[in-house]
Amino acid sequence: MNSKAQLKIQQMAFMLIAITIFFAIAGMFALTMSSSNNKKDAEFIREEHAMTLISKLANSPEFSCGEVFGGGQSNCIDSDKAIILAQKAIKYKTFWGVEDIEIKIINSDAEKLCNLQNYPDCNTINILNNETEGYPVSNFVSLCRKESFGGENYDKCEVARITVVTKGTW
Amino acid sequence: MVKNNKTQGSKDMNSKRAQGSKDMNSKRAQEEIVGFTMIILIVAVVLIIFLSLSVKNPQKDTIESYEVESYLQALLQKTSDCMSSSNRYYSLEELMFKCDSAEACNDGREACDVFVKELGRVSNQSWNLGKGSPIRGYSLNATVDGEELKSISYGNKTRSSKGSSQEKMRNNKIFILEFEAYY
Repeated sequence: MNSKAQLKIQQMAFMLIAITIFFAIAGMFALTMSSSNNKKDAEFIREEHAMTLISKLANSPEFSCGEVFGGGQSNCIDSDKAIILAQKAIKYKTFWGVEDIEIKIINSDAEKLCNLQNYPDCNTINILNNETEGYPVSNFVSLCRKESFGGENYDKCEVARITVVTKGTW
Repeated sequence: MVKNNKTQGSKDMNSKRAQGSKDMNSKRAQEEIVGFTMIILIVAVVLIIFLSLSVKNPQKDTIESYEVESYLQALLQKTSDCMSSSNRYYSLEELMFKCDSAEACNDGREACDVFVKELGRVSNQSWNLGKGSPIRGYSLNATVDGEELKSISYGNKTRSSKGSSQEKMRNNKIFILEFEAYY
């Protein structure tokens, strides 16, 4: 009788251990899944914020290509507008509500800051530079300008990265 | 004497009965242990199979990315160094269409060669795959009506990636350019 009771207790102990292990594994699996989803959501929201801010800037009349380069292009920046804006940055210091705006053409050349004298033989247009600390967000844009070859004008578009520094947190 | 014998016989019977009952209990207990062990083994085997399957066939974890979408838009708008016969530089989007119709640039280079070369060059410069970068590799696929036109990849393909695609229509053909950055 004593032996039978011991056996029953042992059986229950095994059962409890098995159930605990099973729920622990199931819980870990559920946690991994939910953390993976949270990571995805966080990445998505972060990108959405960055995209909204940069799209707002790139598609504003001060920067956008408009109808000059065929029309209908989103995230297209007119580099002629940008270089002129860079000269008048002091007037736009608080206009966009951001600290820094920099557009860098993606090529293998060393960084060469643009000004009216060396444009377009340069690759970085620094529009705003308030030299304050903040949170940088960046995205790809198309940087277009008019070029001429053999007396004919053509559109010259390059892949560029626009970086905006904001003071606020996400 | 007879009575003593009877008592002894009855004791033996009782002892045998008790022994039989004990054996039956022990057997039942053994059966229960075997059953319980079987349940644990089945649960363990199911868990091991499930875990090994999830490790062996990892689901690709691709995040739809605005950054990649913007990159593809800018990439297709980029002006190439391939000139048409009317002295006009093709954009990479136009070059993709010319590649499908096996046309050549004004200087004799194949449109497809220029297209692939440009895609690789710009992608290598745009996505930093160096040390300290979270990006491990990338792949770019251009398809026409679901069939591969050109494809390039660089670095390692990992489980996690962010990607996007751009769809263009020309001469009733659907051109899709897909990009995936692995990290």
